[in-house]
Amino acid sequence: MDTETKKIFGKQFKKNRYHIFNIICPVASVLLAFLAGGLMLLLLKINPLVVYGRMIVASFGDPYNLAEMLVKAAPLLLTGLSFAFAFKAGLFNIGADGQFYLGALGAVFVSLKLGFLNPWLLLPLALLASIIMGGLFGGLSGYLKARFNANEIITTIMMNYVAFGLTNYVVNGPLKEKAGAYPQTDPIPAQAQLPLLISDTRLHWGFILALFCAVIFYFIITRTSIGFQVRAVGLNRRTAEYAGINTKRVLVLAMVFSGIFAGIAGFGEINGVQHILIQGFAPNVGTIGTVIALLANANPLGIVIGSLFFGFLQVGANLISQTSQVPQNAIDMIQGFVVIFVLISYYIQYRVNAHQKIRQLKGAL
Amino acid sequence: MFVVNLLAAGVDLAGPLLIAALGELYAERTGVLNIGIEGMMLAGAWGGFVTTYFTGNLWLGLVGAILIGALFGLLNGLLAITMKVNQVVSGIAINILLSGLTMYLYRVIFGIPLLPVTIQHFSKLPLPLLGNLPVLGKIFFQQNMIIYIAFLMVPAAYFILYKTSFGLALRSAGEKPEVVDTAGLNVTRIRYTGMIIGGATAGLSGVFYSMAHLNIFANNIISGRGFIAFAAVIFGCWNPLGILLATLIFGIADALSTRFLTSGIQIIPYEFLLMTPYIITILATLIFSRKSVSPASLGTPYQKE
Repeated sequence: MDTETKKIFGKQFKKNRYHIFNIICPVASVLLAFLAGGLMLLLLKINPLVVYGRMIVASFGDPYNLAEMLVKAAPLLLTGLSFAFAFKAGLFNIGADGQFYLGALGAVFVSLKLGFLNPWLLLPLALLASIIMGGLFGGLSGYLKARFNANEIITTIMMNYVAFGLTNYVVNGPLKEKAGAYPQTDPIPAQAQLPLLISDTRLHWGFILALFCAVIFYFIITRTSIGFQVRAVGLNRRTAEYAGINTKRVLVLAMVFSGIFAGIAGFGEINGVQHILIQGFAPNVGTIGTVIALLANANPLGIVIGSLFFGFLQVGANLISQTSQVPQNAIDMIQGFVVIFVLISYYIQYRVNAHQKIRQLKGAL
Repeated sequence: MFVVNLLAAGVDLAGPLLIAALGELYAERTGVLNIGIEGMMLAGAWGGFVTTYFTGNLWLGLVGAILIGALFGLLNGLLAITMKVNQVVSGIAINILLSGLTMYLYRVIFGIPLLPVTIQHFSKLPLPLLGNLPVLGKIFFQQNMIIYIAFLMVPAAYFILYKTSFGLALRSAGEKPEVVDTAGLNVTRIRYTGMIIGGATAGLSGVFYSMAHLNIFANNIISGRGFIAFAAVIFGCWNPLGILLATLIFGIADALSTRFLTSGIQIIPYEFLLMTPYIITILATLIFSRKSVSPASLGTPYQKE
């Protein structure tokens, strides 16, 4: 990468300045989403304040549930990074769900077939398998984009259904449990399980791995040549091409990395939490990760915060649906409201910031 | 006879895709993508189901589905056109909202029934005379009512888009919005119109799944069909006839995999058969993406100077 190109793009990479209004806005929109969700809960004659209160007390008042939030946050963080990486290259990877499933397939395959190995060898191999599976599956969409100009939104969405089909096939066929009763694999051996971070919880080292991935994401994007090329292609593909960047290679690589992050999420879920692959497990991990990445505008720190928040939502939803009349899907609805209101708040923020800039300019005159 | 039955089933399965894709065509011709089509179809399936359940009238159900689809088309317009949210992002947001909202409201209305709640549904309605034609009658004219509506929408779309000044305005807003603006027309209003038509037709299309093919509502009844309709617009090269062909191919492929499934012949595992429509969609994307004939301003918000 020559300095000339850096000069062209450098200006556009400058960060926006933050001020207090930009923090209030997302918080207010989340509150509004809960308000809208609360109105919906009234339809079931449920007092939303009681439910929300119980959700917060139960989630934060108990160390197990606090740890559980991090357990739920880990895969969301990774699928969020997955969407964000492709997004930096101007691509929409809607296929995190499928890449996550294939990563899980790779991890469970290695964990079962090489289960006799020492954990120090077995776990890295399972991780590697999930990386390869996720990376290949994501990279395939990238290749189709680069080679055939195939719309990646469509190919990644369609490949989700292919991945679900493959997984269903595997748990009903080649890797079906020995008992043969349910569409699931045998449990993976103890040496294939990620050690716990805190005993008596489900919090495992996969969470640290996910945080580490966020750091790697930040490092690749801001400190490496490939990250720079990815951002350049994302800003303007044609300009990047003129600047001598091999855009096709960048598109493929961006999707490979994107798939790898989602694949690692699959490893974490299999070897860290589930210890078994069940048909239709962890639905929507990819979709929610996508939402988090969008709301965080593909910023890794924002994705970490967002995944913790959505982790809290999911744990809270589990807790209240076990102890009250609130159905589990109420939280899906509230998540939907959160997304819509945050998008609207971004618009308001944009308008207010623009308005202030105009006032400043007028003041200068 | 096998082929005739297969084609008839293919037409039946192509119908909802055709309606949804034609609606998407209006939206995309004005320059806005409607990725929310999947969620709007689910909303239509829900709205039609609930309206029919309470009124006992299928046609009112149809109206309910169209209205709820149009409502969320309007919401997507608000996000994507007025607020200039990235059009893919706004569509994803709508899909997520609707997948949660429809299931929650179903739960509110019907509680947790032991058996799925059922309604009456659109049954096959053979047309007089045409229905008696030898082969064609069985394939095209012994279908349910909405299929006929779907096929009538093809020439209607052709006429509206290419032969009316309204259609010219629609198409121009997607090609050169600044010219439309200079001509004194309101680009924003045209794009809203396209998006609302897209939403309304997506709602109508959803009716097939909860009121014709099945007579129940569940959260997985659309399962990617909206995105397939979205893809059909691309293979159809953004024109009604192309879209008709594309959706027929999808429908027949879908019917073929269903036939294999029910025939009991185990050539390939059935999980692979279920993947067929999605794989065909990917393959079609590869073949048809080379020559890009998409509207020039598709996906870009219009900023008045």
